[in-house]
Amino acid sequence: MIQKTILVWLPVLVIGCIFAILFAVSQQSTGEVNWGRVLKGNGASTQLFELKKDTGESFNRNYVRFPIGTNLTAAEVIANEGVMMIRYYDEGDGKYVSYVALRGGVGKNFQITSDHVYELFVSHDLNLSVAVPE
Amino acid sequence: MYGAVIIFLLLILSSYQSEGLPVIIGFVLNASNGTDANNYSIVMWQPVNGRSVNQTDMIGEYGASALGNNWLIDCFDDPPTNNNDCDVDDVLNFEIIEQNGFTSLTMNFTISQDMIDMGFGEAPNVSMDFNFGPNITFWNPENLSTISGLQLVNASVQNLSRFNVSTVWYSIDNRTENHTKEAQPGNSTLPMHVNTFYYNDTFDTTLFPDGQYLLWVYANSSRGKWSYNLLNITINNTGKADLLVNFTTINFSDPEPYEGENITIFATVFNPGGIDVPEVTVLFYDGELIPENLILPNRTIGVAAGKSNITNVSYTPRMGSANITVILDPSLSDYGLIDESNESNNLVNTTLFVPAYTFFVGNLSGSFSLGSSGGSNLIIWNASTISGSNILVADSDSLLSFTSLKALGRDSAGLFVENDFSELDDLLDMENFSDSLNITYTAFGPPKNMTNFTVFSTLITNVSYANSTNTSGFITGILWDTDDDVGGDGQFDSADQEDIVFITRAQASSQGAYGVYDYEVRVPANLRRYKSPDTTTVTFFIEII
Repeated sequence: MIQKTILVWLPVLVIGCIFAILFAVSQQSTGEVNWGRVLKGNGASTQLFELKKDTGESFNRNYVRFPIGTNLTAAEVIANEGVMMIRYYDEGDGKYVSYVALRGGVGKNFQITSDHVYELFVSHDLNLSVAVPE
Repeated sequence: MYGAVIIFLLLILSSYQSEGLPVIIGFVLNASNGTDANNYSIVMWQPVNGRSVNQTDMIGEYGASALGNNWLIDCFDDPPTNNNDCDVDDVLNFEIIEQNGFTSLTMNFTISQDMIDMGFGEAPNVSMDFNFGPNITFWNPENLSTISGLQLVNASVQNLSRFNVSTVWYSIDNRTENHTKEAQPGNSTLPMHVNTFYYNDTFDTTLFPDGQYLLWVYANSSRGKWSYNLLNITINNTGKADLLVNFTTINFSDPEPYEGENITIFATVFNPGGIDVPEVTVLFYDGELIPENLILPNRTIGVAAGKSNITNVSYTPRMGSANITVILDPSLSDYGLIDESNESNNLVNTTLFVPAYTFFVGNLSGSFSLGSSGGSNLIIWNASTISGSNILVADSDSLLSFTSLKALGRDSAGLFVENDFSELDDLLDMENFSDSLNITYTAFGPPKNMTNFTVFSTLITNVSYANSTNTSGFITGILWDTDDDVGGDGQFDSADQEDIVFITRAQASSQGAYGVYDYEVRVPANLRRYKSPDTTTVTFFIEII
């Protein structure tokens, strides 16, 4: 009886484990934080973020951590052509804070810091350059 | 079994893959009365979860949008009881949370793939509206009336908001028990913004003991705002009769008669009381309630309890307004012969208006011939071309000199005379009418409209005219005969009472107020009495061109 039970449920467990691994890999790949690449030249440094458009077929999430000392606002980020929305999760309120490139900017124009990971939505694949503070 | 497990796991994975987290942004229009929508709140929910599972945001700069008249809700910020994110094809409802009476229609939209991809989507614009309860006006029964038998409840319900009126119902309340009946509002379609319909229903008063009650009519807007109106009524199914007339039950066989037309006045008499009335006298008056003004004969009818009966008299109206009064069970001062539960509803009056003019319309056709005694035609006029022909109307006692006609309001030298129209009104007894000649043809002195006519090859200029009826296809002008100016003052005056002619120009097959025809002319009904001895006829003259 016990053997029969094991024979029935073992394949189920194996398949379940396979899907669990796939699920975890998928989650890791879509939730990866983009630290950007540092480019130096002419005495100044910039940090380049390659941002991908999310589509119905793919699931590209642009989680960005800006460099320490970044002095930007949400409005300045969405002022970049193709950047449609930026938001971050406010642990204190348990809510997202969003700023949207619509009607001159909808949402709270928050200060960008290196303490949060920000999610950016773009209308097409693009490179976002941010000055690295000295 | 393995298949089912695999499908289950695939469903989990596919659900994760299609998960989307758009921000929803919307715009709110201020209320039509200018009330600012900012600081009111939006509530958004998925219908599949019910309105209680919702997300909210304050409209305006203090809300998540931080922008006037905008709102912003992040679908990812699930309420605690809702584990469903906004996914493609999800339907979302939203509306303004009612506050201070202001709310909005419930709007909806569907999450699209584009919203998911872009991270945000726009909801439809919504306008803020006041959620008025409907306005209810009673028509029947009347306040403080005594009723019996089957009673009609009739009220008009006016929708004052953009939200439908969902239900109308009445309630009888004697403060110790309630009797409520719900009904849809007659055959009317449920109304939209600012629309009125009539609510009709009946209730059987015999189900209630005699006594005083409150009759309520309620109406409910689809947004839950209800209102009511109420009456004090007395139900009496056993004690006394109650004879009743009201203005809605006085009717005329022709509600727009002409002067001298023989018409019939109908009066419907109700008896909502508890006992039959075998005989009641019904009087009709024309004007002040004095014996001389009785419209005879007096009528006697019977009205059973809870029933009605109709009586009538013949009547020949005069020009102007007639105040028609109907009285039941005279005399009113001593409450008549019949003991009634309500003695104050036995009189009603209404107004019948008879215009001061008679309107003649018709066609001109055929041929006219001037023949010798031997039957030979000397001259034949073929009336096939009649447009432009003059049609003149005068009192039959007038002797016209067609080449001496001038425009009323002009002297024989053609100069303006201001008082001609008021003098003619006096002569025709029209001075007190709202459609007197002075009011119809002049603007407190100067003519409203002027034109020229050619009569007997004589050009008559500056002829004051008015449209013959309420259409502009035909006009009627007024002329006077200078040949009758025996006083020699050179103008129309009441002392000489010069002959008067009303003139119109034929227009073949033209649209008038009563159809398509060749002529239409307005003539004061009293023109036939302008000169004696004949007081019954006017004479038409046709000048064929």
